[in-house]
Amino acid sequence: MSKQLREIHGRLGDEAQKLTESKTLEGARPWREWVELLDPLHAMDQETDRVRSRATTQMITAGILAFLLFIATIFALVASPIAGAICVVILLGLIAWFFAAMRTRGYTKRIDLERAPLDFVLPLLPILGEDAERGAPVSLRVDLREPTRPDNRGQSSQPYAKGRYHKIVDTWYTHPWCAGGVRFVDRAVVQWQIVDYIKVAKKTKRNPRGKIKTKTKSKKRSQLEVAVTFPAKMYEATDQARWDRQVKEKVKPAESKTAIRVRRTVKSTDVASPPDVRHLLDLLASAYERVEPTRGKKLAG
Amino acid sequence: MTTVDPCACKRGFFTLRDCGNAATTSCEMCSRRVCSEHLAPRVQARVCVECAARQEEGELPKGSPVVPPTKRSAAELEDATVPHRARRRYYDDWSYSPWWWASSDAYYASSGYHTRSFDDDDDDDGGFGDS
Repeated sequence: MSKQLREIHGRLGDEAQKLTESKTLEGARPWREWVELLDPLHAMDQETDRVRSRATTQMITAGILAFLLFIATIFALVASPIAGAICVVILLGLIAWFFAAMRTRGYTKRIDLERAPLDFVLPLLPILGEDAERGAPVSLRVDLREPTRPDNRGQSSQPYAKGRYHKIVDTWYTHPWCAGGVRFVDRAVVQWQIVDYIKVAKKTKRNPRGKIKTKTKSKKRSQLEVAVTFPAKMYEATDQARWDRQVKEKVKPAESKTAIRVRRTVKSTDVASPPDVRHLLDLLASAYERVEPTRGKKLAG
Repeated sequence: MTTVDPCACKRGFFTLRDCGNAATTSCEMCSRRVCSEHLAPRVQARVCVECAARQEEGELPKGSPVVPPTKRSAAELEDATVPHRARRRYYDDWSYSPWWWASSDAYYASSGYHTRSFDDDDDDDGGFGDS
């Protein structure tokens, strides 16, 4: 394990260290506390990725060198016992290096977190904190596990052919990775949920030389949904939205509150990246554009 | 309770409201009185987060991400300029006009913020009024 990774891991609090094992977090706390908890995890995950990549390179290097040296050792042992013994010692060193790199790689893989949820949530928290009451809790449920893990797996298609590919199998995954809620100073209650629908297509073709080649392509649809409940003492629904923000909306005006539910789907071919935070802000903005204040007093806090 | 020397910065993203803290210093760019929480982290000058955001926004191309994806250190997230910069960029690029729940402020009218508001019941120099 690298010195830096050891240091970063050591600096993590008990809770953060547990999160690297459970990889799911759920709770309610002020946004600053969330940042204090999640930001070191984010830094550690970045370092983990760097260490894993280095360990993989080391494994490959050690493996190739060990293989070449093994062949050289055979010849060396025949030619000169001393040269052979030296080769054996170096070979043992390379094998030890290979296993050390493999151990590091295994460890970093075990504590690896899905970074997209952290990339999304960390910048979002200070923005939500602007509208939340000071010290008000933000509830969060974040899944930092791999999106295409078996328990997210849905149905698979029957193999079919298309173009040059004689066999394509599509598998769908449903990954609800982020949900949360917060109460704003204007007493609006905000809740959101983001679900990724991932299609993994495994395509097989035969190349001109007759070799079978398989590649995997993924597509993702992120569905962002926001529900805002505006108390009637503060806001009432307007007849129409101020701007067309390309969202699907449901507005339910009632005597005591107006409930607005807005939704947007964002398509991407990059499964590892989160949607832009702006999409969630846009949904919230569109909810605020469907109401107008019913009172004219200032807000404070 | 009214603060005698209130901070002139506004809190909020979807709605804007008065900060509520007492001012401790003046911004060297806009001369408004601001609290320590709304001072941008500058070494040589005392600049409020709103002027800092305005200044930094001028350096960024239109359409840049609301939140820069690579800047996420704890210090950056604790930096009060970040939500102000994100707010400014979002309003500019995505034509959002926040609800104005604060005292009236000439700074906002001149800074290009479009807010939605109506006249205050209390008539105490603020609240709602079209801008």
